[in-house]
Amino acid sequence: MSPPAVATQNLEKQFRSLFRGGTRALAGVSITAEPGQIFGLLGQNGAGKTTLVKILLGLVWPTSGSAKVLGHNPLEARPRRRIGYLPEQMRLPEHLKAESFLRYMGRLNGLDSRTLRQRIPALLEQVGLAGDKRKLLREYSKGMQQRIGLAQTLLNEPDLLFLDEPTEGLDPVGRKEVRDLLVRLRVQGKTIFLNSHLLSEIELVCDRCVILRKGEVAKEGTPAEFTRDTGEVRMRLARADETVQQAVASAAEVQRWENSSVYVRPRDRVQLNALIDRLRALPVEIEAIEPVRSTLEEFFIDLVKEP
Amino acid sequence: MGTVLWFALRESFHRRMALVLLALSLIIVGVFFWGARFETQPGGNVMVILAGRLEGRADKVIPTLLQQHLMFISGPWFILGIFAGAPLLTSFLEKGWAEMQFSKGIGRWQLFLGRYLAALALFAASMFLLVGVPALYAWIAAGVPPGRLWLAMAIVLFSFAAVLAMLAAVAMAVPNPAIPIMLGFVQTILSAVLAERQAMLYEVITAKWAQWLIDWAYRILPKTTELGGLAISYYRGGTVVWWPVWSTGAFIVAVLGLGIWGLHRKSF
Repeated sequence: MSPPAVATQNLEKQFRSLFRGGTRALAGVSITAEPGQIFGLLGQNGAGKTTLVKILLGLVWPTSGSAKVLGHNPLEARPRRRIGYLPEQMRLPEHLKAESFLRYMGRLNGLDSRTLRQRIPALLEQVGLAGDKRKLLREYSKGMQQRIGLAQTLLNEPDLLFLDEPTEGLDPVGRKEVRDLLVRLRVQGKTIFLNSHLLSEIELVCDRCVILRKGEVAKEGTPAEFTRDTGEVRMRLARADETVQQAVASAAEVQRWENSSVYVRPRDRVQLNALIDRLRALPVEIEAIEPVRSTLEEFFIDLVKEP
Repeated sequence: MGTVLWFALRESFHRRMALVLLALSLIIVGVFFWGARFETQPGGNVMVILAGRLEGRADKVIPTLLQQHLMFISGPWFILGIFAGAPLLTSFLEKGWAEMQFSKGIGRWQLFLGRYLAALALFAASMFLLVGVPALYAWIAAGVPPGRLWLAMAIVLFSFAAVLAMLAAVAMAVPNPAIPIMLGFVQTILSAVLAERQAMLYEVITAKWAQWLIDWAYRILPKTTELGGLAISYYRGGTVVWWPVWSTGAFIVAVLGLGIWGLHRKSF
């Protein structure tokens, strides 16, 4: 049985400062990410997400606790050749062109020249930068920089990826491409550690999520566990005049109206069916009807608001 | 490590540091080539003519000229070398770029040493242009072999390596080129003062404990001034005391070790 892609036990990190005292970034964080999962890491700014990722990459020393990445200590250099990392704040070497930059990144990961000659053009094609490979990186837009950052992450065909805000700076098409890429990588058995403020994206692609709050694990589970039925039903009607509004109000508890959509909270299915019959009898056409689930965003906001 | 070295050199050209250092070297060498001529006299003696003036026999004049070049590189050129090399020791620690490199499957010590060697290689290249190329030219054109010059140049390079090691170690604590550059200056001046401490300092500082501290500072710190003198003395076949080489060597090893340890413990 293969070891977990990421496993931490009581991980703690205290940043010490001579003049400003200490800051507790992580407190007893224990998580496990299994191979082949897309693992979402959520939390407010300063919750400890970046510190956790940096410990897992060997960039920051933990104060106590243990961490294993692909079965190894994160401080070991060689196992990192199986890892890809896209930091949130990248500073690219401006004097290099895309190919030279990727060659350097690849060489640092121990890739030989032949492999790099094969992979670099394919990757540039994949991230949509093949036509811009002759430009210096300083001429790249924010979106292009994000794409080249993503390319260097994939260069060593890693088993585990840490992506910090991978869709930052990308247009909607670019975002969709990244989401599709993540799903493709999961199918290939890669594990992805995704750190994003775009909760809708996390909800769409993640298998499991951890929400960090003040350096502690506040919640861990699947996105489906975080989003639940609210008991509300949304009905989109062809019209919403006074007659219709009275009919709805007399048949079920109305939460609110949004244009011609009404949010009702029926007691049970019988009451909901009675409401539908009532509306049909008017007659008014029901264009859509769906149960309302709370979003991950709502769940997240409720959770981080808790004292 | 070779990759790191190569990319660091490319960076130094991009930042114009290498370009300026090597261009200045080329200009100085150009002036040498332009000003120096060799003439073979009927008796077979090769004479040196500098800026149109007859200086004397090549086997006497050329070693003196090369000695002056050696003195130049172990003096003012050191300062330029520090200016050119220090940014290479800190730029790889810049936020956002450091994370990308240090998260790769390469040891931190390799990144550290690659950068250090790149800065050293830059100085070595400029030194070769300034001293090596004129020496080779004199050998070909006037038949005066460089003799002990190569080892003398190696001693100067070794001396620069010690200063650079100190800058590299300091850069791990203060990743800003200004501090290492300032420290490089201080070390260059301090080395000359400590070498002459009895004549220069002990007249004023008479407290035994202070003299004891100064003696230990002398023993520990790199002896760049003495190494410059040693290189010239060795080249001219004079008496050579090797103690500054050993003690500076120990300093380089210790300080590089300290720098690597500092980088290893550093959080990004």
